[in-house]
This record gives sequence, structure tokens and C-alpha cells, in this order.
Amino acid sequence: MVAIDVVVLVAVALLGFLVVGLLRSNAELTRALHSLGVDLDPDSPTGAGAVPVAIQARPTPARPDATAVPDLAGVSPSGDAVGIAVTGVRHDTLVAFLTSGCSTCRAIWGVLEQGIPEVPGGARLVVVTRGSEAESPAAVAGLAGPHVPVVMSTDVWTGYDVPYAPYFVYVSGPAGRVVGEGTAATWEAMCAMVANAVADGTTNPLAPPDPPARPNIDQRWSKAGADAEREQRIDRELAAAGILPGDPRLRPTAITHPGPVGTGGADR
Amino acid sequence: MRITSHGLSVSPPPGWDAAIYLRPAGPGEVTRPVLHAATVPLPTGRGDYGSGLVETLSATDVFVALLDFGPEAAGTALFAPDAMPGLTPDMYRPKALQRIIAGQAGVQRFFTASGRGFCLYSVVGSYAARQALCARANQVLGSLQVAAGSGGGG
Repeated sequence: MVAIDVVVLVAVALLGFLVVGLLRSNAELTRALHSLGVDLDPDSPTGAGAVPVAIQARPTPARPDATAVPDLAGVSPSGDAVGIAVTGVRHDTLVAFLTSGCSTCRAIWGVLEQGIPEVPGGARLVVVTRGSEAESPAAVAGLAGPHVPVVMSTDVWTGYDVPYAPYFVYVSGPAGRVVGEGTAATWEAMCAMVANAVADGTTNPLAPPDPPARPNIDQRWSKAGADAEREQRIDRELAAAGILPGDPRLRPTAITHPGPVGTGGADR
Repeated sequence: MRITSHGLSVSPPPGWDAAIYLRPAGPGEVTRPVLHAATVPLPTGRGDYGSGLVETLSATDVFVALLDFGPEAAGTALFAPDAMPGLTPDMYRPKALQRIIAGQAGVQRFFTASGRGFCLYSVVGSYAARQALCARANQVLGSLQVAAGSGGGG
């Protein structure tokens, strides 16, 4: 009888240690996730089921440098050739790597089919799928709808070293580099992820958006502005001298040396 | 990057978008390839001559379109020049636009290459800056390759 009591006590003690260990492990995991910005509270706005992974540029074997950003060259689902620049441009680009088969991508496709969704930072949205050897162009066309540009290219997929889908890469056009990348299960979660990167100031706004074209050259392009100013000054001086556009004296057939001022030299 | 389709091939410089497309042909209709390149994003639903796009050009932007008119047009009077013309700043005119937009200027030229008649149309966002912008347009045109055969649809 005593032996049974001892065995039961030992078993209870062992189970107690096990429970304490599990609770401690759970607390450590929760703390670690919390420090990464992941909120597991089911009542939180994002919900526990749609937790975005923090967006950060990651070095990859194919893209070890954040500035190694290939442009998006491939074909559209209708078979047309498409080339989209993501660096050397004034805008940012959000590249959404999607597949037609993955169930998680369905939610993203569903949003894109409705129209062009708003992207934090005002980035241009471009969808990239693998090429036609791995994806059905008809299926992609049916999912994507007509609003968002789609580039089908396995080379681009490989060049960005995409680990899985859906996967998002945010490229700062003015800075010419990837400022963040990651995955999210819903469009809202993706927006939250990108908004953090934008709010962090990682999208380098080296060049503000251009104003619409105006008759007078904009002030942002100083060299062309100086050219225009010089051109206008020369036009004014010529007009003051009675030389207007089309005047044959602007295109002399021979060049002669000017005479002294006031002598009526035939060089005009 | 280089993109190739429908017998046309181009390597746009960094910062350029480009597309080579063929509109779906309606009943009894023949469509021909169109090449677009621009320093701004190419919007979906733009016109062959850039409507919907040229409105977005700023004073530092350029748009280039190459429209295939097919072998039937090749060598005819309008398409008599047998090579693609290089563009010069003085070719751009504020009134040579499909729709006049203040500050912009355009140029249109016709020629024959590889047995195909083509229309080259380009718009710069600033007439005052046409010198520099014309050079950028020529960068694109310099990389253009045309293969024989129209590649028309319909």
C-alpha cells in the first residue's frame, strides 16, 4: 500500500514538473513572438490567423545585395511582351509574387480582381507569376482581372529568390533597392506590413512626384531649366534686334567677320 | 532587359517601361503589333498612340510608340523611307500631337523596315527640354530590332 502511495506521489510530482515546464516554454514563446511584433490576441484588429511577417530586406543567394533588383521582364497572360522598370524610377513598386494554385493566394487574387487596391506609400502594384511553363496563362488571366499588370516570368521569380507564395517585395524606385519583403495571408495584413516599412522611412523619397507637364520647365531639373532660361533670354534678345523665328539671317550661308560696332558690318 | 514579341525586340534603358502587344482582332479585323516604351508606368487600357498615358508625362518624361502597318503598307508613298529615322529635337512640334497638351511636343514619322510599314510616334513631356528628351527617345530606338514578317492577328 505504501509502495503504491509512493509511486503515485512520484508520478504526480513528475507530471507537475512537466506542466510547469510546458507553461514556461509557452511563456517564452509568447514573449519571443511579442518581441517580433506578432500579436496572438484573437481580439486584436489583425486577428491571430492573419499575422504578417515583419517586412525586411533579406540577403538571399540569388540576391545578396538589396540593390540587386532585377527589372520585371516577361510576358503578360495574353502573351504580349512586358518590361517593367522597378529601379531608376520616381515611384516605389510593390511586387506581389503569386501562384494560381496556392490556396492562400486566392484571397490576394480576389482583391486584385476587384480593381487596383490601395498600397501604402502609393507604390505601383505589379503581380509576378512563374512563366507559362509552370503556370497556365488562362488561369492567371482569369484570376488577375484586367486592372493590375501581370508579368509571367520564371527568371524574375528566380532572380528575386522567392521562397514561397504569396510573397511581397517592396522596391524603392528612387533608392534603387529592396526596402522590405515578406509574406502575408491577406491584403490587409500585407498593407499593415508595408505600412510599417513606409512609416519607418525606408522608402527613400529622393525625388518627389513630378508635377504635371507645364509650359515652363519645372524647377526640379536644374540643367534643363537653365537651358530653357538661356533659350528664352536669347529669343528675347534676338526679337529685340528684330530677328524673329524663320529669319534667314539665323541660317547664314557664309560666315564673315563682324566689323566694328556702328560701321554697319554685314555680319548680322 | 530585352523584350521580344511579334517580330519586334527592344532593350529599354533603365527606368523605362516597355510592352509589345497585339490587340485581339474582332470579326473581319486585322490587328498589328504595337510597341510602347515610356519613362512612366504604362497604364492598362491606354491607346495605341498613348492616350491615357501622355497625360501622365511630366516635364522630364518621354513616350515612344511604334505601330506596325504590315507588309501591305511597306514601300508605299507614305512609308517610302527604307529605314527608321533617328529623331532630332527640331522634329518635335507642340502641335504634332494626337491631342494638344500644353507644354508637350510630338513627332510622327513613317518608314519601312524588314518589309513592314511602320509609324513612329513620340511625345516629350516638355517642348523646352526636347533636346535632352529626344536623346532619351533615341536610346530606345537604337536598341530596336525588327524581324521580317508582320505577326499580325486576325
